[in-house]
Amino acid sequence: MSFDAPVYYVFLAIVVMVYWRLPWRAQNWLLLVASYFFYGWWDWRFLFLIATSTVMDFWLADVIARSRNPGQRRSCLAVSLVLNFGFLGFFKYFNFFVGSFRELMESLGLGTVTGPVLDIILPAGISFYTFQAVAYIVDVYRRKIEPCRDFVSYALFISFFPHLVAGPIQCPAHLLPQTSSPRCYAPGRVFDGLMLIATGLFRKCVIADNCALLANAAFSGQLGEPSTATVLLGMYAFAGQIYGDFSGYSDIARGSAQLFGFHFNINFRQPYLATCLGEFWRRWHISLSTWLRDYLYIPLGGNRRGERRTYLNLLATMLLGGLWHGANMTFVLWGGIHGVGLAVERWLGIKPRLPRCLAAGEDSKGVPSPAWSLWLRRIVIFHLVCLAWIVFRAASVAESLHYIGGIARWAWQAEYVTAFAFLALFSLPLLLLDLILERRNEEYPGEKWTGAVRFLPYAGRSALAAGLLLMVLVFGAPKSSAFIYFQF
Amino acid sequence: MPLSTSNSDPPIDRAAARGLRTWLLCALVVFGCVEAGSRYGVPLINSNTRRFYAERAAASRLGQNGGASQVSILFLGNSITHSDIDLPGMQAGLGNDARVVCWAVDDTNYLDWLFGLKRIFRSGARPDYVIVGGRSRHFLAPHVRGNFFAHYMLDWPDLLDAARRIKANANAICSMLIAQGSAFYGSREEIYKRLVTWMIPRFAHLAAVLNRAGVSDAASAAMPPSPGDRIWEMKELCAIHGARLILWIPPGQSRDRNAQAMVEAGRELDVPVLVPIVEGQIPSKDYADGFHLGPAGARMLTSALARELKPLIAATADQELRGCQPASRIADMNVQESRK
Repeated sequence: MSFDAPVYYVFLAIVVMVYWRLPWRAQNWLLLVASYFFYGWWDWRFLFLIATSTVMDFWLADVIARSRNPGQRRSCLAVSLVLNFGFLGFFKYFNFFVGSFRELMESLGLGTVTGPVLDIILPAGISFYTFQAVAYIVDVYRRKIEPCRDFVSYALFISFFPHLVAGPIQCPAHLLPQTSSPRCYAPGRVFDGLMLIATGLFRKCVIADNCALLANAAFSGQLGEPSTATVLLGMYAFAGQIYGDFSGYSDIARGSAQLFGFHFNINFRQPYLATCLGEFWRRWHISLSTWLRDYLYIPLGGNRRGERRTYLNLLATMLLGGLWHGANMTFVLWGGIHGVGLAVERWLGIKPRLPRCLAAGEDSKGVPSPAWSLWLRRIVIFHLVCLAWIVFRAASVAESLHYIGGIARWAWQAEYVTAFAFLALFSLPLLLLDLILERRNEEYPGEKWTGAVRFLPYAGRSALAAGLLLMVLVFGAPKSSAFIYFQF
Repeated sequence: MPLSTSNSDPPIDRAAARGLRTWLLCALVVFGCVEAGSRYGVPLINSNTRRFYAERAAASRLGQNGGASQVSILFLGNSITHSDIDLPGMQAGLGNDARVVCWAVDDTNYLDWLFGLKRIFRSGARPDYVIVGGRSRHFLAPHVRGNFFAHYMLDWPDLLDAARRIKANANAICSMLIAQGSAFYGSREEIYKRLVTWMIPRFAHLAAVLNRAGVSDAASAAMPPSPGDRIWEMKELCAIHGARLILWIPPGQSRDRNAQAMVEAGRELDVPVLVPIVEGQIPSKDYADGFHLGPAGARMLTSALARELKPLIAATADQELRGCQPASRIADMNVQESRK
């Protein structure tokens, strides 16, 4: 069940209407059953996988919390990590590692190595719920949180359907207390949830799906051989597609959760307005970058073990972050580009701006930046990010290099004018939306509208939502493309 | 009032509650307006949609007045049928004994036609001949025209069968289900194209380029090995409802590599597969866009096709004169018996 399919909203409406008529323990049961139904809609066989992982982690966390024997605690942690990463590794990376090992042996001249290649289907959302389970078990091990005593609350924490398939990855300290205690019905929060859903649908159906038409045509060669125009078209279109797609998904997920009284942390904060890569990663897929920071970068030593080690840690974190996206060298290279970029920024002393500086247009020291300087840096970083997207989008490293190389080749067709007009029509609204959100420090347009009569901002926002829904209905691309992050 | 709120919960914000109701009302108004606009407004302003509905209605009525002396003929196909057949020319070519109706829906293929036929047969259509035109890739295509198909050509009882045929997943089945009832959902693609073309006048050219990827991907995904199964299936469907099936393959500027296989399959199954004009016979200036014929080309093809059809239809009429019951009447008797 995809967030942009009408059937999802039928399902959501039914669950919401039943949910608020139940006492909270029954609410948890309802959400758990609904989440398993939602997940089973894709492939019911993988329900056993998520159930097994949930039961094992719940039990192991309990043992870790009760035990005073460090050895036993470490063993339980190791078992959980092996189990979680074992499932992830098998389903996601088995063929990749076997293939890479074979290529390595052959390139070293050690002969042809034969190995099994399995026809493995990737369970939806496995990367996301695995990271969430690992965060829980590690936090329990570090005694940062108490283990959850109620199995249903824990199972809901892992499988709550708005975040199950493509995140945002929820921090246990943030979500577990919400699943373990009653939620109260607040119409204002439900209203915000609906606004987030409308904004998310606009980002996905109007922006991402239309940009996808161009990006797919440009990368598949339908617009002609790679040339300056096609590379720019493909690059900008994919930048619009992936941002609209994933931020739209995140908005719908957060909005859906809010209809049940849950709060998810923000996952995107206008990433293409970043003025350095460090800032980009504080704005892009925030839940993943926070996870990587807390459970990988800091355990590796972070910036506490000298400059050289910090650079290495940055690079390693980003390489693994890239590999998390998929079993392909393109993702590793994409992560590597960002890792090197972050290391270079650190070496040059470029620091990300603090959130309070963003809306005010100030630099990292809190000094107002001239507009031209701010925009110049934004444009440079945006294009750097876009170049990395080419590597991310291409089927192989060789294809990405071939594609990037095409930028030096000038070729022109009459359709390119139309294609650029089409791109502008469906990507400029995204830029405009982001500029408004950045300036007003809002999560959705109109969030902070105020009025003398309290009802008026609600009426205004409702009218805005009606406009967004109308756009979704009439300008949503007829052929919807699957959410990109579902494949991760 | 939700049960989970207790005395300790904060009081419900009245303004927010009213805001929530306003939001839902606004959403309902938007959906309602869009649906009403699609149902009643789009046919008024879009000649294509108007034509689709008029042609389907005419096809559904075809042959319903069982005892008529005219032979009823349904031409079914996609935009090639619409552009390549000069309907008045065909009517003149086949004479006054024939009543010709055309049902041509753009971007459709075999499965669209099959389920479209099922729908009009179910609504009572009893043509004597169903003449389906398309190149072999249209006959072999594994896909349908999305939600438009679900709304316009598919009938409720065939939903699961169609879903199985196109290997639709649960999401797609639900979309088809919604498209069945919603005129907006069914015609969303048309509305989108029209609006984007209004803003970017040359969008149609770009759309053709963008769609090329989709067609080649879908075509290469799952090609059935032989056209025989499909011809047999459509022939059986027509026969049950008293119609005879005839296929014809339109000319194109490129060679139709599977055309011969279709002709042979038709010969084995006793279904005429006509190739009235072969590639190269019509000069390229008579093509409108490389696929569809212009008016002069259409006239040439129509007269050639009418020449080939006439003896086939006359042979059937002779058979009926010799005392055989017309197939359509046998079908009607079968239906009446099954009702008893």
